[in-house]
Amino acid sequence: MKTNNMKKIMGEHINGKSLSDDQLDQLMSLQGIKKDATSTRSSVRYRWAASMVFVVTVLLTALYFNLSPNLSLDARIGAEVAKNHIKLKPLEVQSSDLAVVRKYFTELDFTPIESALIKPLDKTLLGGRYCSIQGVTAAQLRLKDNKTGQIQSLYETIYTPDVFKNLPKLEEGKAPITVYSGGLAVDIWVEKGILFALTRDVQ
Amino acid sequence: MYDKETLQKLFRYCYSLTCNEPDAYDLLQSAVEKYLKSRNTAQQPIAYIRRIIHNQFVDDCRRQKIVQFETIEEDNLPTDFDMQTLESVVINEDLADKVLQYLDPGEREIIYFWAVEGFSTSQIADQLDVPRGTVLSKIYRMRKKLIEKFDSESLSILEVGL
Repeated sequence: MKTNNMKKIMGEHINGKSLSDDQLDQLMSLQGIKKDATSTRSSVRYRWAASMVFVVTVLLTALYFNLSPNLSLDARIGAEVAKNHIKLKPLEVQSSDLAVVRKYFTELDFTPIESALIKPLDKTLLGGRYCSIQGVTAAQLRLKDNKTGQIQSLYETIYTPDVFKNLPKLEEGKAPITVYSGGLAVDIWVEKGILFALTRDVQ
Repeated sequence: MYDKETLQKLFRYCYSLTCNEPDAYDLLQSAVEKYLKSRNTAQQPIAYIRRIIHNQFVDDCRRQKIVQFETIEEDNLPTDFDMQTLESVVINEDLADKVLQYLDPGEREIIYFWAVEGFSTSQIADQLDVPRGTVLSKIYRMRKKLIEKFDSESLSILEVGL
């Protein structure tokens, strides 16, 4: 077996670890940096090439989503939400009063709201923390089911069709979509311009 | 704002602490969120977010009771060692992952600064905000621990500079 000094071997081993392109894009997006934000050159040729790339990208994206409508996006949202829920990271604000929790979230582009699908008498709000879904800043609210004692996470973020595509909208009479990840069910829906994702135990 | 190259470096730092790639990503994502929320305009943004990552990791460990961050006693230690103590260790290439898994997070953090960033003992001490002696103690114990754990075929010591 090949031996070498520990510094070299450990350095190479750690340097061999890297973020995937998806992970990098999510982190860049989290910072508000668009994936392809390099098109500041003024040459007509460059603009033309950039336009062509954009058109091809839009066509390919449209084709992709026509062939496999939202399946991978739902799964990605479900997996991200379930994974974060399992960790139960510490709450940054603790209160059973939504108005108090709302006041904490000053950095959001939306106001966390109650959903018509969650009856206030059935759940107790425990608090919330900042988080993100697919790189978009979100509020993570923690709820306790009054009947079963089950702890649930409710994610809310602003619904933007270009990021979240065609998720079911309550106003259009559609029911939430349910995906399963990490032994949990995650219900996903859009209501009043907000994307909701609610974890629940699988019975 | 952190560019892609910096994010990759920070990810490697997170990996050194967690020894697990998915956990490293979670830790980095959480630190970036915290950094953005703080609206900090730190003069040394990389050192600043490394501090966020370190503190977040220590908090997570304490909460999940994964590991204890023990204080280091500096008694009964030889006085003539330094990073050269680690420089003299020769290992099999296949052993890298096992070594990382075997070391505790504090030790892995030193390995990162030493092997990846190329920091000196004093620079590591500055980064970790601990006395230089504390770093030296950790290095001494780490070397001893590795010699005790791995057989002489996997890990050996070059007799230089000590």
